[in-house]
Amino acid sequence: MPYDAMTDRADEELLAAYARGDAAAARALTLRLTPRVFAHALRMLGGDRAEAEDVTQEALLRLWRAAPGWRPGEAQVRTWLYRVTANLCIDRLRRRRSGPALDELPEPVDDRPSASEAMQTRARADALQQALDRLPERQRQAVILRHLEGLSNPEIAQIMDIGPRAVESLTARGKRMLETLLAGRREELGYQDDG
Amino acid sequence: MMAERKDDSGQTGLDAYFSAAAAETEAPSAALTALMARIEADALREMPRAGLRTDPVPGLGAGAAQRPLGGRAGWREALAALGGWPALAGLAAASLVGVWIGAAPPDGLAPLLSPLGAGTFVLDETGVDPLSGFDLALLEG
Repeated sequence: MPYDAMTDRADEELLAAYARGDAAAARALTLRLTPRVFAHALRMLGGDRAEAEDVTQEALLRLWRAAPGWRPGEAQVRTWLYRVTANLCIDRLRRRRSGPALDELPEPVDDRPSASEAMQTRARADALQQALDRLPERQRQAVILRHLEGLSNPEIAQIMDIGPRAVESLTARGKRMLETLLAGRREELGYQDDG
Repeated sequence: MMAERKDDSGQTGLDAYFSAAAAETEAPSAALTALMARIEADALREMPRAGLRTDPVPGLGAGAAQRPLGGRAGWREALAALGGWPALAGLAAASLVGVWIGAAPPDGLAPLLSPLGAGTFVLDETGVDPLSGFDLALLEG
């Protein structure tokens, strides 16, 4: 089953069709882009679904409005959207500076040895999200784009408007900090010492 | 540094966390479906209609998406607001008649144009050329 009815058409091609008044292209783009933008917003915003939904709707609204003047070959839709989404998230994060501390967040896991694999996966995802929330915004953005969205360093450099080496530096520092933050929770999350 | 550790699947370091987070976001939900419905409604509402073009230049940047009308599309909008070409022709004709009356008023109109209600100004009497500013503007292009 195809993800949308126009899987063989590039985002930019669909956006051009939308700009010409093609409602099917609007639907295909919505189905294709919404989950991706929402997932990115959710991670950037520390799991706040309501805010992530608002940001997703706003980011896509900007895309619809930009469609008539989109210049083919100048910017990729995906790159543009990640950038708009991240900027909207950072604006919101700065408005609510006093976020909850890690200690105040609910414990994500049930630490029984017999906890199911699904629960363990969930627990790890929650633990990662909580650790990501502790990273500086730019490190968080770079780590999410690289390791969760699977973008390349040049793509991330374009989104964040920095050089590829700066991307490497941000992700490396971000991962080191994540390791430190998660180190104390390894036993409860099902990790064992290797040696 | 901490020792390298593995989970049951043999993944090390942060990889298992990243894999878990990726797995967690795969599942579709009713909330996501509702969000997509709202976004599609936005898309259809904002979808350009035939004959009405906007001229934004997206490039990269959050603010790039919202730009005012400009260029040929802007002219078309302004013309439509005035009432189209016939209205514009009428406006131009009225402007020309106004300039003509100002430069060479008909005899019957002269008393009305004079601030004192009698006669017209003569350059020698007033020492001021009422059209000098107009001439300068023309000269300056």
